[in-house]
Amino acid sequence: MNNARDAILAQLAQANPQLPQSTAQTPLPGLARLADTDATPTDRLTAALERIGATWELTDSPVSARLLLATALQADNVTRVLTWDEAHLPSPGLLDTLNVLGIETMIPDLRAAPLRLRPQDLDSRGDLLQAAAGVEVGVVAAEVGFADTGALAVRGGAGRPLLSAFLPRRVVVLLPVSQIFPSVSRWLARKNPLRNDAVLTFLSGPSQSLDLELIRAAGIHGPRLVHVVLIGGSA
Amino acid sequence: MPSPFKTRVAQALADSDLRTSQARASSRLQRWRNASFDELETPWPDLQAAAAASRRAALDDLPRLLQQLEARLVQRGVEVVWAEDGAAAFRYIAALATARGLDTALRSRSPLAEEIGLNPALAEAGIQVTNTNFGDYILQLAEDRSSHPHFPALHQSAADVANLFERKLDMPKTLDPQAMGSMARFRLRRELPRHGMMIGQVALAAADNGMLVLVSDAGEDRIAASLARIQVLLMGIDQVAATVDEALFLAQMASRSAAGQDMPGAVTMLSGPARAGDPDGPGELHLVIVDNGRSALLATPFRDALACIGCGACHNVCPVTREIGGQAYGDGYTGPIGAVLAPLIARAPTKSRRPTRDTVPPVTAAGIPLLDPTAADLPLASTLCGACADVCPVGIDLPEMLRSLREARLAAGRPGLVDNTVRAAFRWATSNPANYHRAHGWLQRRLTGSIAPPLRAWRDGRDLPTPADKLFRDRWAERNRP
Ligand code: SF4
Repeated sequence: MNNARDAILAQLAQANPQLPQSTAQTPLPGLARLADTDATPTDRLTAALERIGATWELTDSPVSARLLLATALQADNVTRVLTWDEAHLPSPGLLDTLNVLGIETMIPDLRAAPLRLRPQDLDSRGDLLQAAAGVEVGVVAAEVGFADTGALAVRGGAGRPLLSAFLPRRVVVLLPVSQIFPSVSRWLARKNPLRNDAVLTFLSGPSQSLDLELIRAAGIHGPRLVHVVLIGGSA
Repeated sequence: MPSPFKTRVAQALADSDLRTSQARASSRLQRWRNASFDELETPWPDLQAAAAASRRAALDDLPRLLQQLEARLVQRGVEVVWAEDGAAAFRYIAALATARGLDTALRSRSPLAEEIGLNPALAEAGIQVTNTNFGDYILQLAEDRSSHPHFPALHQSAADVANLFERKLDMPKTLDPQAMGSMARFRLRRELPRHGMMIGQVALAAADNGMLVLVSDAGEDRIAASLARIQVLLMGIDQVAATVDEALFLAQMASRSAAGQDMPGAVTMLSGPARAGDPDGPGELHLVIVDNGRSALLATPFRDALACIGCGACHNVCPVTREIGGQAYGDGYTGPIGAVLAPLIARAPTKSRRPTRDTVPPVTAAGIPLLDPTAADLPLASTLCGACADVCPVGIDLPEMLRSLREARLAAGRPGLVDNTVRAAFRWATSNPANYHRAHGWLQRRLTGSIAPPLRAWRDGRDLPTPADKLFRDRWAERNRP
């Protein structure tokens, strides 16, 4: 396929005989909404979350977030959650609290399944996934929330399996209020978004499809319910 | 003899239910789109100009951007391969699956896979592909083809799908899209772990930091990226942006234009296979960069068509597409951009694109490669009203391209005897008042009354105004008669 590479690049060079001399970029216009002008970032984010079908609640500290979440899960008779390593959750002690309440915490790790691909390996991978897929609720954290769209940046990586966010029907996303940015572009201007990780996703509310007569069907490839716990104060 | 395209148009126009539902869906999508841009601080012309500038600059700089992207990805362990055409792409994918002992794969939404006929080609190589996008999943079960760039099963009603799911999935009949969506989830979730290979498509790649941006409404790419052992991503050579900021800006312009969504439902940015210690993510990541006629297109007056970001807004607003629906266009590309790209991009032959005696031979007129002769009639499906160019987020001058393609079709001698005769007669009749006077009576009779069969087909395929009873000159003369 190297020949193909050279042939394609040669053809492209021929089609673009005068390559641009300057690669200086012109700034992109913002996509801010008129109605958002006077609102606080938190108000804008919560309004955006409602627009995209997510629910939310505001807590005043990591401790109250932990208690609120644990009590709500217990009241809902949740017995198991898929989640992340505690170090990556902005609510210290959360997993211990859940365990004390009898809620099992699972951190899925597909590396536990054999990596070589033979049919029997796929089966064992399947067993592992099936166990995880039976869990109704996921608890993960967003690195950033975008006030203009309600999208939440969820970063995969060691200790942060994305399956915990996308396998269960319900997912709870913890987000410190200090991590609300006005827009994706403002965040990108500040950070190297990918750092050293392989995957970064933006979660915009429940998984929704309009494929059938443009009527919403939720949860086909991800959570049907997304609940955001906004954490005020500091960790 | 009508061309296959004209036959498909006639079939679509005869289906009044389809016409009503298509028009209703297009209106809703258009309303959502308009509301979504009206609510923004920045006026639409400025947004359109910025998106257009970003895409044009990328097309002007493609060789450098692609090489920059490749270098970044290879550094992170991505296998980057280049395919001159569809055949090369699926040969690579089939060989990869065979080498890993796999005979199945899952595929998320990918217009490029449809363009190159990936599923049937892999099936021939013994690899069964299951579509995961809800619309594509429905189409696969129904053995049907796509009708819209963004919502491929838009032509299927809930009742159609209820019957289909009852027949194929044993599901008790319901008209509730949510219940049918849940059934699809149940079936696809069972499938997910059984497949070692996931195939998808890059929406845009960011050359500056080597990120592959995948977008979907429901998140099928996202779950695939978590579960895949081997992830294969297709990317057209044109689908690259200079920076990640531009890629995400364009993704938002596309989602607003498609269905008025501030942001695509799911955005996944991949920079490579899973790192050591990652609990999930693809063990191998392969990027297949496909040309398939694009580099040749870049050298023609139609290069701007490659700026398309696939939102489907032109499809929703086109008065012709709203009437005939997307399926009349054939496979894959639909709407005004489909009518431009389909004749220009080399595509795999399928049933509806099989060449016939009536199709145009490939020509090169004024540097225009008509690579797919079976699609040469598509540019006729336009009133050239300009609505498509107005809503196109990247400002592609679709009406001008459609007009040029009609010229190319004429240059290829396409019109045939009837068209040439009608044109010559029109030229003669309008060349001076005396001729027009002579032709008027004949026209009046022939446009409504009986006429020779070849001319009848030509006449009946058009909405022609009936000439007035009397010529204006005659009426004027009568009025001013003392
Ligand atoms: S041509 Fe423009 S409006 Fe049509 S699909 Fe492409 S980007 Fe959207």
